[in-house]
Amino acid sequence: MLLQSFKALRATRSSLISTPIIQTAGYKTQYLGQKVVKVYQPLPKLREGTPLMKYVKENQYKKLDPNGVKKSLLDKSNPSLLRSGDIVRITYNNKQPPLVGMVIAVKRNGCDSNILLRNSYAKLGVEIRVPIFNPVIERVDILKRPTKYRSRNKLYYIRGTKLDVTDIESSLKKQQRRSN
Amino acid sequence: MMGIFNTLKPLIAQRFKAHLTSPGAIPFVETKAAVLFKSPELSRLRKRLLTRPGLIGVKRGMVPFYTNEGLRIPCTVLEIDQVEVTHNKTVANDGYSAVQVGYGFKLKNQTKKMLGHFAKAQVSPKEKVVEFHVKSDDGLLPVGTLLKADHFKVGEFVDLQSISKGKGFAGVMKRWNFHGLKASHGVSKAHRSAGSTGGNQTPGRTLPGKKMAGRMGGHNVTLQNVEVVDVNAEKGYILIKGPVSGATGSYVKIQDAIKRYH
Repeated sequence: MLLQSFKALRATRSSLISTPIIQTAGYKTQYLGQKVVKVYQPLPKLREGTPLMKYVKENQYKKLDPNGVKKSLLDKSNPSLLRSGDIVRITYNNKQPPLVGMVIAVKRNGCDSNILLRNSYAKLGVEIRVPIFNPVIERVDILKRPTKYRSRNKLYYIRGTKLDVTDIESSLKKQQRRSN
Repeated sequence: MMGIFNTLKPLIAQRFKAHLTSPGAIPFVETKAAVLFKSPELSRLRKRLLTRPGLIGVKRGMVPFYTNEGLRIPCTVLEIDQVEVTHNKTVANDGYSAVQVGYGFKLKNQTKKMLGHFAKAQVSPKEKVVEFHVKSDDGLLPVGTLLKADHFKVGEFVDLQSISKGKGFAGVMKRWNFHGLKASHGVSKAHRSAGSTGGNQTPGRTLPGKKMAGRMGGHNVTLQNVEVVDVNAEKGYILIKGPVSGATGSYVKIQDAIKRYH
């Protein structure tokens, strides 16, 4: 029974490998003369030879961001990219209420990219790190851009200074009134 | 006198001949010869082994994995490429049963002995060959079997064995998490020192196994009960929850978790 399965497996293998021998390593022995060792061909390459990490990362982008909207937010060649200093709203597709805050830092790391949002509630500074490729996050909208960006990409130094985030909601309302 | 002896004779004969046996007694019992506790057979049977072999993978890096609920799991990517059974070891031949598994393809610098070994198994020359002990000969797989990533399923638990990154000659604080000596209060040029290594005249020597500075890393590390997060047999990879010791490109032995499966 086992032997039969052995033979069947060998048969399927030989059909897989069209040209079994790709090289013969020849060497001479004193008594037997020339000896030859068969070298079997490797199995066909997986993923048509693309490196695994490249494949996995591309596949993740396809799965987590099919439209490419989130990826374009981080793309540096995109003029409307997400920058620290922007005020954004994050909408979730579950029952979680939307989140508004100022971007302090953008960390680019493929599908592990995240932004650090800062807001103040009752004059208490609150920060939350948002992984933007998380499937729970439906949309990232830029509500307001600063008139002039600060000369740093990481705005950690604004914490607890006069540059700190104040009442975001009232400033947004002001903006709306002006536009109306 | 003789008269008394004659009357007692049958009784005496019965007593010393002991020919009276109970009807339930077993006349002859065959017992097995004692086997040494430290014999190879008994030690093999005592070992806690798995019923099937595992896989060899190569660590390729780390990625996040998001569940539909929005949970982010950091995962290690292990590549499973051309993993084939190259040889079987049996109890009759080798004293234990094991499956030899090879990974990948490598022709350069192969010895003629190894080329002959692979030719016998009708597989291409492998870049890495490892052995998986199995419980009995029933767990052996036919030579030439292609093992794919779906050997393990999502949600299963595995043990991972790999060689950790070498740290070189490391001090006692890095190697054994000692606290070192104080920053001030008279400590001179010995802030990261181990301090004392033992007593004085008793025992008069440093005890064996004393934690000291030395070579750190570069040894086998086994991670137990690690969850399999994602499997793709067609593209040849497994996602494992959390980090795996060793540099990217290092070989990782993947087996069923010994504490969960038998």
